[in-house]
Amino acid sequence: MSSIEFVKLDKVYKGLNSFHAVKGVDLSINDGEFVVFVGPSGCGKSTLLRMIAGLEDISGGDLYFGKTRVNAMAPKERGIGMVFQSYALYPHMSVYDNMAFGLTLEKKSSQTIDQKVREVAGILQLEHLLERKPKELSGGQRQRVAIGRAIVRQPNVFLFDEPLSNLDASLRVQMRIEITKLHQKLKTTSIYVTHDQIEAMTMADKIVVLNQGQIMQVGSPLEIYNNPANTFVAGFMGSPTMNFVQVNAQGSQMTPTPCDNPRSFEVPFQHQGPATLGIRPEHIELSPLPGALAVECQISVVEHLGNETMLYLTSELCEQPLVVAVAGEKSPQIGEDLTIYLPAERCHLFDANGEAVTRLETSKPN
Amino acid sequence: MKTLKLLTGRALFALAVLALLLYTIFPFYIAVATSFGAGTGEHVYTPAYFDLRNYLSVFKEQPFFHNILNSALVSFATVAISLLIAVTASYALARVHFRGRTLLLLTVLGVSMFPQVAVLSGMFELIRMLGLYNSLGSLILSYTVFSLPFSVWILTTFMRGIPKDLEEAAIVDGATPWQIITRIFMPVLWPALVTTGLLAFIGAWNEFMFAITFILSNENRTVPVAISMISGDSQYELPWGPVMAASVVVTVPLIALVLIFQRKIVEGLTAGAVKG
Ligand SMILES: Nc1ncnc2c1ncn2[C@@H]1O[C@H](COP(=O)(O)OP(=O)(O)OP(=O)(O)O)[C@@H](O)[C@H]1O
Ligand SMILES: [Mg+2]
Repeated sequence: MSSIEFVKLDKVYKGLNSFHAVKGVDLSINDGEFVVFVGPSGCGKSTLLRMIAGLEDISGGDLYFGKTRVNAMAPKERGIGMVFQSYALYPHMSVYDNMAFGLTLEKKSSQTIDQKVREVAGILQLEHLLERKPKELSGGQRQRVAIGRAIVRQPNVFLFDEPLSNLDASLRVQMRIEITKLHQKLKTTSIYVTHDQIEAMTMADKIVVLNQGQIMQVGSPLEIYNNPANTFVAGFMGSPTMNFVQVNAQGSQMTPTPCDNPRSFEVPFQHQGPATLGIRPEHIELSPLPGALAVECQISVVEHLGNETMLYLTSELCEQPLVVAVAGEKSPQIGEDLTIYLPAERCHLFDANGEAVTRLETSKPN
Repeated sequence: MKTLKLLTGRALFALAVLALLLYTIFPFYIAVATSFGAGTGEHVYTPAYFDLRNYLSVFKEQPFFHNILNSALVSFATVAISLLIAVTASYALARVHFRGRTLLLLTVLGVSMFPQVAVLSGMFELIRMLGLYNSLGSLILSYTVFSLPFSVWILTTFMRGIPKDLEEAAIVDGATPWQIITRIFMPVLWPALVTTGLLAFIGAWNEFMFAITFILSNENRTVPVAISMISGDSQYELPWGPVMAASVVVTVPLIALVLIFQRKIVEGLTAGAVKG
């Protein structure tokens, strides 16, 4: 068990075209926490994870496990267990040997090894598969073996690099729950990389949103959802993504800029100058609310998801379509006219640099 | 009509197979038939009876058993040494980043294109300098030199095909580079190792030019040279019977090796390593 501290971590891939993949990352992870790194492809999630594992050199900054600086330590000295996206099971070894490999290298007695392997196999329900080769297993079983191999040595830190991305949707949900349960049982500090925001929201104690090698925001899933720190986080977390409207702010009065006949409305923020107003599709209402901005629109696209329906609306508020999520039973027609209501207390405001403007505490979003 | 067409098709196919078999097996058949024939001078197409006279004479008139041992020693040593070097070298070439890696790999390939004669005199000098003349060491050295480029090239290609994750999983498990090579890469590369090893073995077992140049004394000779030294009753007579008997004796181990390992060669071991 161990806390982890990142101090101005940097990673530059050297070579013909050198690339600054991680730029001054500061982060502290508490002992026993389940931390999820999310971000778009190529943002440096895997690089950061591999730096923690010791598979990638650290170009600058310091990395601490507890009080020890581990920059120069080899992976095995750091006491980590890692689960790879491709599982990376040893193809010529049985499930048992795959899990025992690390322990045999540590020259543990065969009794200890046997006891530990069987214990882990019990936790992961692999007892009946111990003699099989990886190629004789299903995807979910392989994933469990990979997890077993990581936990059998009782590491201080678990690292997962998109472990579920090769599984089909239902198995992914099942494994997600299993990993969460496992973490609740073992309470080992875990770092989990994914680009699936549902995984991030459901599993994390703490989410770290990354973009282009930098941390955009750190927070609990609900903090990230309710108070995104900038337009990037606001647009990245949440599906479908948040609607953005360009506005001109004067105090708490907002005037949408692309409008032909501008009219202003009030939101619980204080700001001057150009800004971006954001509202999530699921927060837009179809029935009148006191204090909500009414907008006339026309339906251009209807997407039925079953439990809910996504409406893409054209309006004078902004050029790109507004997305609204409505209950699934409704079946609006394309071309229909519609009035939507934007509740002021559900709006987010971002300044010209995309940073969030602090909300005035008038009425709390529930 | 249809059945007729089918039948002629089958017949033509059988004919083609027969022709191919005849064409490939005929030389071997002649060798075996001649070796069992009683005569020493001419080829035999159908031996009248099994006669082991030629086989006995091969072992009686020269140290042929000794020659076989020499060949086996040289071949196994060549395979062992060249596999050891090739595996470690190809690990570096495939997995470790260093300057001039591609150039080195191309040089390795280039070297393997030289014909034997081109390096014969240079090799002779080298062997004299090392004091290996007329010893089996000279053959082990020169065969290793010749089988290495090919082995390194093949193994490097295979090693590049091993997913990087597999190696990193082993690193996280605490394996040293040597343990990664021996415990992970070699078992995964087993089919490739068998193939390259077998080719190195066959090359060493059949080699003639170096063997006749670097070895002087009868009891240090390897099999191909020993066979060429089998003489008949007179200068003008080629002793086909004993020669063929000797050839059959030394071909059997090769065939056995190939048969033993062929299943290994075919087996795809990497299946299931990564998501399948
Ligand atoms: N060996 C390398 N040499 C140079 N650049 C690299 C190297 N490995 C990765 N990069 C670059 O570093 C950046 C971060 O890569 P990384 O693998 O960490 O992305 P990621 O966030 O894990 O993406 P994904 O979600 O697609 O896995 C990418 O832009 C990539 O092109
Ligand atoms: Mg990645």
